[in-house]
Amino acid sequence: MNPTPTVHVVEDDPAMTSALCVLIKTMGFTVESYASAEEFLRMYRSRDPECLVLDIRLPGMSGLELQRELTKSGVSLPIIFITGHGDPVIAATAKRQGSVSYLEKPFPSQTLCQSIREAITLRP
Amino acid sequence: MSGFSSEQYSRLIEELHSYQAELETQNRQLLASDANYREIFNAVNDALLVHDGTTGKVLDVNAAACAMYGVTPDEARGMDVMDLTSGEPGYTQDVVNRRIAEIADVGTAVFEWRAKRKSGEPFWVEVSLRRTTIGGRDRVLAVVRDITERRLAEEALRRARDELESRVTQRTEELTAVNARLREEVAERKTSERRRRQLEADLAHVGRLTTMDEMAGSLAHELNQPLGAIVLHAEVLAAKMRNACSSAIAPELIESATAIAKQAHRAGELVRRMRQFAKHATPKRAPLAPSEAVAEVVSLMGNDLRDAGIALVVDADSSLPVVSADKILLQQVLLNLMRNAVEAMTATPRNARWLDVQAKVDGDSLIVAVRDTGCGIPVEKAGRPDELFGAFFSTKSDGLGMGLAISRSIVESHGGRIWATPNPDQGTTFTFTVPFAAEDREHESNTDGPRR
Repeated sequence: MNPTPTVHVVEDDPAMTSALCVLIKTMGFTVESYASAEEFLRMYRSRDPECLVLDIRLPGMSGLELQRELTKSGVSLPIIFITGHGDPVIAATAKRQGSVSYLEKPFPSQTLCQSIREAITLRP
Repeated sequence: MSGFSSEQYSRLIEELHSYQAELETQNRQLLASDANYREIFNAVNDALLVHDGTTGKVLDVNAAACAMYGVTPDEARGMDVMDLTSGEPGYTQDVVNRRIAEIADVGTAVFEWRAKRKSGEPFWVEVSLRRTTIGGRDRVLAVVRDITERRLAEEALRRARDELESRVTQRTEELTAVNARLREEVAERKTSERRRRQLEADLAHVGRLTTMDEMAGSLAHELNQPLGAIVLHAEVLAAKMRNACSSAIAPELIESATAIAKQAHRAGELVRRMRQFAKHATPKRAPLAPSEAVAEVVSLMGNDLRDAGIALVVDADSSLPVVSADKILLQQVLLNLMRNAVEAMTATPRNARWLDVQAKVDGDSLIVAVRDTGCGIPVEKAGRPDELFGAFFSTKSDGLGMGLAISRSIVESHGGRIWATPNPDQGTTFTFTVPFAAEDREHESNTDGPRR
């Protein structure tokens, strides 16, 4: 049996972070949260299986930039983008860069749960 | 000897003597009369010439005539009229003949004439001709007056009048030209005033649109965060309650938690619609001369700067390369920065209010800096550009806090950057860049920012 999957959450809004953590814990997964892309890059340790829930708009490095950074350094981590600022162009960019899902806040918890499960099974 | 007695003879002799004496007296009288006549003839100031009524030849002249024509009486006698006439067109033998014929009918004639001295010099005279009979012969008496002076005076007068006229004409032309120029200037001023008003209207319009955009965008983002959290919390709560021992929890609580999530979704939907209503305008790029765009905004700010007693220094050379950008949007940015600068200097002493606007080339970008000597940015905010350029951040008590957020959105939509630096002495410098080459990352930066 696989170990407990880990979900990394990069989100700068504390209320949103806490809600995400509660939900993901309820799903029975481990949660690691980071307040910025920079913090994630500093603290991230690969687990297996795992996925990343990533806010697009962040102080400093943006979610899209982090995604590019990860691809560049060869980290293949399935990404679920969440945004409070829905935009078709950004959604397209995220998809093009290989994200699993793109969710606009506020989204139903079920949708996120489903996306996370999909992302974890995608883990090569 | 017969017939004559000595008495008769001596009477005859006596008679003869008496006749002779009378004759001598008469002769003396005649000579005196002729001398008188000469005396008078010569004493007249005007030139007098006596012509033969038939041939026109000069028979006699007075002293004044000799002086006038420069001839001796002997030279004059026997001269032809043409010897005393200039011969210029209009003063020829034909005309002389016509004049003489005229006085045959009328008796007198007065006219101006071009006479000629012996030296050949022509001069102006006034001639009075009178047909008369002297000693039973047909004669023409000519009274000639030199009118050179009069003609000169007339000529001078005519010239003076002509000159006056030409000066009046010239002055009129000058005035007409000035008038036309004035009218042109007025028209130009009207055109530039119209352009100015158009620019003001455009900027106000874009200002309203971008403000609405920015507010909608920022509100959406700000609201979607808590809404997202509410939904997740409420749904987790509802799910947990559903999974818990059902008897312990009233179904109304589950309903409530579900309703909370549902209402949060509904609010999210409203926010989404509001955002769609105010869509970010994509910049309409066109070649733009930086110095011109700057000058227009500066002219719009003119009154505010004067009222606030702010000394303005503009350094935007017309040789700056053309940049591809949305003129109105960029002008909106400059206007925002300049207005902020003016407001920042409210507390600055009037003689220390300086505003520098500088545009120059920096690498592959146009760089525009707006430097003030104002109150500066509060220390605690200076190091937090995300907050400074975020929506709803304002140092002004009545500020909406949209100006810098809008400015950043516009600059980033052009692929540029905007930042603030505190000046070493006083005030702040706001700087933004616009790449000369239109970049492809325009969309991303547009929608990526503003970051919080």
